[in-house]
Amino acid sequence: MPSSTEPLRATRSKDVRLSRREREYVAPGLLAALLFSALVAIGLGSLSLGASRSVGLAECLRGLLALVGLGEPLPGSLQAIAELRVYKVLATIGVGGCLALSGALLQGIFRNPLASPAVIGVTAGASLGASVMIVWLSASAGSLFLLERAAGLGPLLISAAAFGGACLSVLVVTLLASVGGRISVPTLLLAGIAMNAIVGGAIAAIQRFAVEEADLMRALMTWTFGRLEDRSGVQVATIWSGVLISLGLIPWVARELDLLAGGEADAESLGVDTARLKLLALGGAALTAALAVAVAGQIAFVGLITPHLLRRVTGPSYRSLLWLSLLGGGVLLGGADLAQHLYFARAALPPGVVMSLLGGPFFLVLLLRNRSRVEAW
Amino acid sequence: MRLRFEDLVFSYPALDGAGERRALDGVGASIEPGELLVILGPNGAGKSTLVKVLSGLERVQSGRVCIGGEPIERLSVLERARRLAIVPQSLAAIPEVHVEDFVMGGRYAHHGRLRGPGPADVEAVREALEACDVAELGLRLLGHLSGGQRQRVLIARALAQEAPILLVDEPTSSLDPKHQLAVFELLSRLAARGRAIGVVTHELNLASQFADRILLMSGGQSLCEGVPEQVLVPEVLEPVYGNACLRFGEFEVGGGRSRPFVLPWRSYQEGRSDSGGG
Repeated sequence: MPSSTEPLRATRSKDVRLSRREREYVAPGLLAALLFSALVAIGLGSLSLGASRSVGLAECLRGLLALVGLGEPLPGSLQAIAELRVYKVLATIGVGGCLALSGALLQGIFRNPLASPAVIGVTAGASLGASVMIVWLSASAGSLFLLERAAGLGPLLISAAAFGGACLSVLVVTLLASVGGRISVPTLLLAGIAMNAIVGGAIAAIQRFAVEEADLMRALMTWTFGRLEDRSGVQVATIWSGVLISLGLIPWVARELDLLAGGEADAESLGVDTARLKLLALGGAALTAALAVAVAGQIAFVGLITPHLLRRVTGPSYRSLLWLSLLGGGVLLGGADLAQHLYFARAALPPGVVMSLLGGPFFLVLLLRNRSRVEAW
Repeated sequence: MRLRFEDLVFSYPALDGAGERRALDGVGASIEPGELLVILGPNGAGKSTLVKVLSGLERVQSGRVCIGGEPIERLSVLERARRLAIVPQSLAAIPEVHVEDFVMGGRYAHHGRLRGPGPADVEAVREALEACDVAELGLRLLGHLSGGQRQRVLIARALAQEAPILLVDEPTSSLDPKHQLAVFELLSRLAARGRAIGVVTHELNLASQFADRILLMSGGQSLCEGVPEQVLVPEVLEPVYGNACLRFGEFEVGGGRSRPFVLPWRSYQEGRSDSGGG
């Protein structure tokens, strides 16, 4: 209908949104970008591992095949290096995807594009859990070295504590926001803010007492900055179980989140069981974010920015947004990590810092370029 | 399928210790298939609360709501949506969707959670858009429509829901007279085709012309129920809306029949001149 679409195009000329036909290329494009960045990342490896320069893409892939029982392991330490590279890339993709999906789910539930995993207390809870575990590990004399090695028990215990902290925090926030079995979304937001403040204070208190001990402080900080290096097979399996759960969850909430856009009462009148929807989406968001934070520490911004970017390209429908976020989060985090390898190789900045340094300005540029279109929330 | 409710009591919880506010206090009536029931009443009479309770958005505290003979609390959300559709007065937010996709939302209760819309759903959406005279808006964004267009799109979505019972909350509050008539004519046609339709409105004169029956509410109770000629009379309305603010009359509509009309009327008493000057 040219008569009705013409004026639309005029008013939305600055919009970067793709046509329906063009949108079909977004998912394959993201998948290609994901594979490309994964292969480059495996090939380049981490320059901070001095010995790894001699291990190329081909060796890593052979090491990967050996890992799943389809060939001879590489000689000597090469196999271990190849495994670490592959694990790191898999962890990056999984963590990015889970964080982005968590953000997208929460933005759907809150009907607000500013929501992110931090809002419901996931990040804060995980930080507290991890901090407490790090302090406890270091207090059990001499076990601090466990934190340094991927193979040791330390990282796993910290991950488990982070996961527990995240779940506990979300549970408390959700219970506080529940009245008569229904979750009040505005109260959820406020309870989340309060929880973030309380937990932030507790973490600061722990750091205050740890500041005298350099090793302990380093362990605490490392976790706060986020970490994708030296991930173990168990951690990779953990985060990918989150990805698998997400794949199963998305079909059950996507259409419902779209219908929620007109308000809870409206969705309910169309047949959407909003109580169940909130439970599923909130549970999924909490679980994926908790797993991601447990595996990689705090990485800000992926959960906020990925759905936001994708929404600008493919429109606000959660039927595409959720799937694409799962893909796009990996691309974004992997891309940021590659960028840091190429530009800040010497500094070896942790992923949480890179995401904030690169993602923040990028987000601002987008915001400023489309300032006229941003509506009041 | 009929919608029947009796002895409904509903109170909003107390906010400041001043005691709970009773919004419904024993209201009851029924809406039969093929009938357009208009629910009238002053602000605060409990009309909107009644719609919320009837649609299951608020729980029944006391009394009964039966949709097609089945108590509302026994119906799942999905089954309820198949039996009863609601046209809200407004949405909490205007979703950024095309009109076609928005109206497809009405098919959710039919196509199932995982399957997604099929050809039958697309056909139902097309018919609903045509019935509401908004077929040419299908590819427009909901946020870019005028108030009148958006109201008709909301009705189209409820039609696509293909529920035998339709509850409409103040459909004409932002519409000009032409569109007010268009909306009521549409609702009247739908009732004639067998739907049970309840409309909450303040438009006394539209009620006079389109209602099969009128339920007049006041203070959460049913004050009067009957055909327009019985309800839209001074003895009934003046105690509810106040003595001096309405003027009553009748219009011939041909065939020896007439319809009552009611005008809001300012008071022209001492101390105030007709010109409005001081």
